[in-house]
Amino acid sequence: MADEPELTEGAEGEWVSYLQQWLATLGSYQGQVDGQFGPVTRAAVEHVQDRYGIGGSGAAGAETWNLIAAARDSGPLEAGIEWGDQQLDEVDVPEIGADEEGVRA
Amino acid sequence: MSGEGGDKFTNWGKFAWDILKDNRPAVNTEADYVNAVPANASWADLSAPHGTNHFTWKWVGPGWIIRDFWFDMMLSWTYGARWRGGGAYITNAVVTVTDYSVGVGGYDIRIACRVGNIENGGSETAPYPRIPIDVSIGYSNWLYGGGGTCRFLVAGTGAGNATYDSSARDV
Repeated sequence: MADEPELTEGAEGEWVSYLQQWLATLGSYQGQVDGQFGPVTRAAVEHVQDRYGIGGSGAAGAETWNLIAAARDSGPLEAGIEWGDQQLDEVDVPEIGADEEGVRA
Repeated sequence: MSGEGGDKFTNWGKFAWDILKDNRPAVNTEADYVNAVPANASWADLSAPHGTNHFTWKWVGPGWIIRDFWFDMMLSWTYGARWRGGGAYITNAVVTVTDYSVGVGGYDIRIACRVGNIENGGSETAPYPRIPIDVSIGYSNWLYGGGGTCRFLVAGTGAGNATYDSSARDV
């Protein structure tokens, strides 16, 4: 991860396009992938930094690039469900009136 | 032998309630419950229930590396109460959030419970209720939205069935 440059507002070029693509993939960027690090890109960087609890204040530095690398290598996590414990103990059903006394609560 | 009315059920609880409000659990188990007892019987004429069964599940939100939110859920119901020595009734069924985490994804999350028509799974003389309970989650932020519904059918015998419908977004 040594090659990724620190990007701040005003930066331009292929690294910015790459950053924008991953910000979009992470769900934090809806702008054009145009290689221009403007205020929309900065807001997206801040959003993803806030979302994942990393620092940077809108500049894409080492922590942001590490996050992108982890995302690139891990794939997305879909929303869903995981079933846990299921306790299912059943009883027979006697006829009403079979035992007039029943079992009082 | 007649069922003497024990095959008609009454729900003293609710048919719909919110489980999550403002992204926080909002269940009051004293009021937010469903049951199915004989329609014309005194509560005091019911026996103590046989026991409590439960389903547990975890709803996990979207995310990358870490989840944006998750909820540990439990549906539990007390079952096997008898009336005049027979039947198997459900005296209480509740849905609770046992643990949860909501991160910083900016999601508006809703979880709600709906109860369907209570039917008799037994006979007129040996009745037991089957209660359909749907627990739905819906979530959205400025970019994403989704949801799903866990569909349960719990019986007075203690039996239960659970399925998940990821396309059902009832809340």
